This record gives sequence, structure tokens and C-alpha cells, in this order.
Amino acid sequence: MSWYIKSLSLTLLVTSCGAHEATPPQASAPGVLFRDASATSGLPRSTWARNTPLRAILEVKGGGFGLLDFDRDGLLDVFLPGGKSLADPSAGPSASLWRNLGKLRFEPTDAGLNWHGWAMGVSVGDLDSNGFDDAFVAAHGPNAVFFNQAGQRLEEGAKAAGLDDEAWGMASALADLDGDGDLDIYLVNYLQLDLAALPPDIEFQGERIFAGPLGLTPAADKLFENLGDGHFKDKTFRSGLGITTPSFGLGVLPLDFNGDGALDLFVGNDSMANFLLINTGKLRFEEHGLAKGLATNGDGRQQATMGIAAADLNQDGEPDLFTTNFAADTNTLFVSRQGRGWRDRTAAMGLTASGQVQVGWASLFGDFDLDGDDDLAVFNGHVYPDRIATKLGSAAAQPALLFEREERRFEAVASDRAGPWLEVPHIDRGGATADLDGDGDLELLAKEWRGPLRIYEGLAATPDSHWIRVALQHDGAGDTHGIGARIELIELFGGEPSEVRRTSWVQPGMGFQSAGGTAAHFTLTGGATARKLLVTWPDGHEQQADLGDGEGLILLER
Amino acid sequence: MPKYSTPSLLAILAISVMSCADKTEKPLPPQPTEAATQRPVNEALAPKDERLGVAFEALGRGDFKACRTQAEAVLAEHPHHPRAEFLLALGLHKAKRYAEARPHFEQADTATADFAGKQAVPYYLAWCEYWLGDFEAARADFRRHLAVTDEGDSQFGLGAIALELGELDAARVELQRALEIFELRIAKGELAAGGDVAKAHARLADLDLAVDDDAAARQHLEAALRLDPERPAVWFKLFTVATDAGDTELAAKAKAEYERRTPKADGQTPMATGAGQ
Repeated sequence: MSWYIKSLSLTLLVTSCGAHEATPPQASAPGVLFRDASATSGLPRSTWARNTPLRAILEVKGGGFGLLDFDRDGLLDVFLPGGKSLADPSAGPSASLWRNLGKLRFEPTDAGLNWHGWAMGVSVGDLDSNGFDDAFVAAHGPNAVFFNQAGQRLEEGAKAAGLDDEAWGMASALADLDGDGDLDIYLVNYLQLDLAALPPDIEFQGERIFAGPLGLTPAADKLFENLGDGHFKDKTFRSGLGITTPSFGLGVLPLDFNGDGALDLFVGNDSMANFLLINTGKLRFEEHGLAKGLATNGDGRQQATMGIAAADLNQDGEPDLFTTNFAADTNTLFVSRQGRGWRDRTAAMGLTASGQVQVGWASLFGDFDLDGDDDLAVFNGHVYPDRIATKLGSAAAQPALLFEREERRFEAVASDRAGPWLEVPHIDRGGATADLDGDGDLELLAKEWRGPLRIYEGLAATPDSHWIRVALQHDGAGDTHGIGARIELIELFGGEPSEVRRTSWVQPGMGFQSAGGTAAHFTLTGGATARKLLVTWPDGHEQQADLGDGEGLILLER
Repeated sequence: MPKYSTPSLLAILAISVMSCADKTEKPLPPQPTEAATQRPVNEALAPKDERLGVAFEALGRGDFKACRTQAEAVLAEHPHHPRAEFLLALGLHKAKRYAEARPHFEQADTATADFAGKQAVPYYLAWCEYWLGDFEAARADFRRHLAVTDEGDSQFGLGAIALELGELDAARVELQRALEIFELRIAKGELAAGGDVAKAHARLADLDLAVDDDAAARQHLEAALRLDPERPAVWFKLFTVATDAGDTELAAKAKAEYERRTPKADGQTPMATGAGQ
């Protein structure tokens, strides 16, 4: 794999794709895309409180984790928050940090963590602008922020920062929403649930089960502005968000959806209309979900909308969105129409048949087979026990789904291609993707409900693979990684077409309730005479880099 | 050209598709049409039982639980009684419990005995398979049903499957054929005007929307709404098309009609899902 150092009007650092030795080839059949590397990863394998009776919707929702380079050694470490059950609130695991040793091996590290909250979603970013990634945990009960003390400790400091909101938080987006260089926070809240007065069970499919979300009271989302001095200010009302309908929020993805250079927000709501919050400047937003085609599926039906993934599937430079949904419903693919909003193209792109009996959570786009286009992974698992899940055509534990892009459609991949792991059912929630071993292909991570974090090693890379992985770096600013930044690879050819443009985004929040890698991946398909990058940072700053014929991991400094 | 002389055309239940609360663009769960009621019954293999009549009546008035209870009581005494299996399956199917209904339809489908409704089993089985995402099985069963009947809804099912699978050319052929069957039946007085034709127009609109032919889609959407204005999905799509066309007046009207017909949270269905009680 070639690599190089080049300096033009910007600082462009290129490190070897082998900066951390890649995991040796696995004893898998040729062409198999992934292997389950969980057993040898050193990540915790424990499962807890799986068999306790479910008394409230709260008990089935959590499952996030975060990848962050805790000590800035170039390797993504794993932050695992805790969780609880109503049967025994003291029995859940506490938050923990697992240091990446390379070769997909991890070990627990003492980061001073002593937090036993009821965690939901994890987001990662440098909230205090000290150059080290912090972790924000949306929780039932006060949210938590773990400020990274120069790679030595993770110190919880939500209260002092003004971020200990006590609504039931589900997920968050850390992003520079006002273009001032630091990370603001959009907090997705779910519903109001008084543990001392749980709502009565309801009947569903002829069985008694916990109530919600419909019939319960939604909790409004919140927006916090980073004041730059370690404190955050609640700007929900002043941002215009106070007039949006309080909804059962589950996830959020910050991207520039209308191409005006400012980060907008797509908010997935459970059983209610999704939001497309268009940034009108000065930290103010307007909701346009229905008009732009993202509020509901193509039938106008409000869906559950758990996981959110984005990719430029039709190569028009705009993000297309895939959302996962409940059983007896389809997942939904929204494809952009060049400034005219989005339309539901689930059926047209081959994604209807799968997912009808699954309850989908983390959804992840990535070029898993290194053929130059985006594939799709979906992790599933029911919220109900088997006695109800079977009535919906499945079971509580459900296998993941993997799709390869074939021309204009996605084709479901069987285990002979994906690997035997694809047939193993789990009750999954969180998920993320990143190249954790630096070999050029992507790993998949999935967090099981009250269970372990699994890691699937990507096997697609070979010595003949050609790829570029672009990581942004802006030291001195809180938005170190350019969360939400648009990265365009322009390949120049001698013949026709004379150039091909491909677009990706820095979107660690893709998946569900989890923080994944911040690099953008491009597989190189050959024939280009030159390449260049065009980056639009969240504050509107544009940056170009001439790559020549360079490949590998590229650290693009601002 | 299909013939329309079979007794399966005679719907003996008062329930109409129009009355169904689910007005999404997706095919509606089918209503029992008692396709082969007049067929002779082999009483040795499918003994008559008054409880099955009670079950059928319960189905007709929407009491699916009572239907199931009666059918299960018969099955307890006569395991695999084909009509009891069929009625139990219908009681589950009508409650949108497709995964549970499917094996009972399959059991009824494999029965050697003839029984009232046997001819319609592949039709209901196909819709179960459709809702469970097993499109190839559904397609095979719709075709099996069409081999012995001229049921327009099975033809419509083939179109819906082709559309779901992105086979747009095939979907157009199948849906156009379904539309013709529905219209011919209406002309013959065998089918009430409205719902069936409306749903075929709605799905044809989906085809046009899939290729961004908004003008053609608008014609189908408006045709569907003229026949059946109680379809929120169709209003929603008309809102989308009108918005994109800059027709703010129509967009506002369609949006209002869509929102007026969109089910509000009722506290009964715990998650956003096609599955109900």
C-alpha cells in the first residue's frame, strides 16, 4: 500500500495504513466478509439480568457504546456505559473503558470511572476543547458527561457543565451547530416515565406487556450551546425547537441536509413523525420533515425509526438515509432528489422483503466488500419476549442482516458470504463501524441488550486492495474531527468520464445509540490519474487537498 | 381473458374493504370472501360442527377472538379439522397475527378433504406470507389461487409483490390486469365500486412515483381519491406530488386531508407497527 506526505496550502499528513499492524489473515473461506472476533477481543462477555420479568419500556431500550481514542495513540478504544434493570437496579455493570491494544484486542483500563447510571446512547467528541475526546451519555435519570483528562482519566462532570438534564435521554448529537468551532449538543429525549408509578400493562397480540411508547407522554428534546468555558446553556426555546411537537425521540444524525454549509439535524422519533431540523443560522432551526419527505415512510405512516444511517447512494452529493423500524413494518430507505427532498425508495432498492419480522436497531452503511459502493448492515432484536415475538413471526433474538450493493439495488447476503456469525441470533441494540485494525476494511460492532459488545473483523482487504481513509483533525477547536463534515473525493480520469465524485460524511453517530469511527472511507477502483479531496467543515470552512495517486490513511489537518 | 362465473365472487360477509381502518398504500388484509362455500364437503374428513358456523358468524361481525375460541374448541376434538384450521387461521389473520395464522392456513391447505372455503386458502396464505415478507412464497400461492379462480385481489397481490421487489415493469402489467378485473366485475355488478379500484390506482401511482413520473402518479392518486377519499396514504402522496409541483393550494388541501385521517396515538398499540391486537 503506497503512502506519502504532501504539503500544499494545508497540512496534509498521511500515515501508513499499517500504522498498527493488521490482524493476520483469518482461517475463513475466500471471499467471506467478516468473522466474529469477539471471543479473542478481550471485551467483556458477561450477560446480565436477561431473564428478569420486564416491567417497563425503560428496560428494553438501552444499548449504546462509544469508540474514542482515549489516549490519542491512534487506536480507537471502547467506552461502555452501564445499565440497570428494575428487578435489581444494583446488578447492572458500571461504565468502563477498554483500551485498544491493536490487532482487535482490548483490555480494561482504569480511567477512574465509577458511574452506575442507566445508560442509553453514547456520543463522543471533544466537548471541552482540550484535544481529547469526551463521552456524553444520554440516560434515564441525569445524563452524564465524561471529560477526558488528557488521556489519563474520564471524569464525570455533567452537573457542573449544565448537562445533567433529568429527562429520559435516548441519544445525542455532538456537533458544531452554530459554526463557532466547538461542539454543541442536541439531546434526544424519549418519554416521561415515573418509576414509582409505572403505567399499567397493555394487551398486544393477545398478551399482556408493558405499555408505551404510544399512550405515554413524550419528552421534548433539548439543545445546549457550548459556551466555550466548560459550560453549556439550554437554548431549546430560543432555537425555535420549543415549538416542535414533543416526540418519542430515539436517534439523531447531524448533517448538512440542504447543502447550505450549516449542519442540520435528522431526528428519528418512535411511532411519531421524524424531524428534519433545518439550521437557519445563529443556532435556530425550522422543522421541515413532512415537506421534505423524511417525517414518515412513503405511505405517510409514522414509523418507529430506531437506527439511522446515511450514505450517498445515488451519487448526487446529498445524504440518503436508511432507518430501521419495528416488526411487521419495513425498514425505510429515503433517497435524495437533488434539492427536492427525499422519497421512500425502500422497495425500488430491494430492501422491503428483509426486516419485516425483525425489530431493527443499528443500521450501518459502509463499503464492507471494498468494491467501491456502500453496503448495509442491520442489527436486530426484539423488545418483547419470545411469547410475543413469535406471534410477529420471529423471536426475541434475531440474526443481523447484511446487504451488498448490486447495481441500483441491495441484495441480501447469506452466511456463506458474510460469515457464519450472520446466522446467530442476538437481541441487539447499539452498533457502529470503524477500521479498528487499520487494514483498510471495516469492522462491525454490535452491543447486545444486557449483553456483551461483539466485534466482527472485516476480512475484505487484501494486499491488492486500494483505499483511502480520510480523518479530519482540527486541533485547538472543540470540533476536532469535524463531526458532520462533508468529504468529497474527486477522481480524475484521462478518458470518459473525466472525473468521478464520491461523497461521504463524518458521521460517528450512524448506527444506534453509539459512537463509531470518524474517518470517511473510499475504496479506489482504479484507473484514476489523480485524486483530490474537497472538505466542507461544519463551520462552512472549505479545504482542498491534492492527493496525486496517494492511498491509505490520510490525516487531513486544518 | 379471465372468466367471472365462479361462485367465489359472491362475498357473503357484510364487511367491505372500504370499512377497514387500515388505509395505507400497502394492500389491505383481505376480507373473507367465502370463496367455495357452495362446494361439496366430505363430512367424514371434515365433520360438520355447529361451532364452526358460530365461528364464521363471529368473524363476520369482527369478533376475531370468539372466532378463534370456537375453532380451537373444534380442533381440540378433531385435530387438523380443515375448516376449523381455516377459521382459526382467519381469526388470527384478521387480527394481523400473520405468523400464527400461517401454519393453520398451511394445515388447511394440505387437507385432502374438501371443505367450505378450501379454494380460498392459498389466497389468505399468500397474504400472510406477504405480510411476513416471504414474497416468493406469496407469489406462488397467489398464482395457485389464480389458477382456479379469477380473484382480482390475488392479481392485485402479484402486482404488489412485484412492486415491493422493484420489478416495475412486471408490477405495471399485474396491477393493470387487476384494475381491469375489478372494473369488469363492477360493470357486471359483482363488485361494489370504490375500494378495489382505488387501491389498484394507488399502487399504480406508486409505480409512477418510483420513476419520478409525478404527473402520471397524480392522475392515479386523484382517481383513487375520487373512488375512496378515506385513504391517508393516498392523500399523503398527493401532498408530496403537489408540493414538488409547487401547487401550494392542492398541497395544503392534501396535507389537511392526510392529517385528518392519520391515526392518532391511542395508547393501545405499543409501537409503530402494522401488527395490531
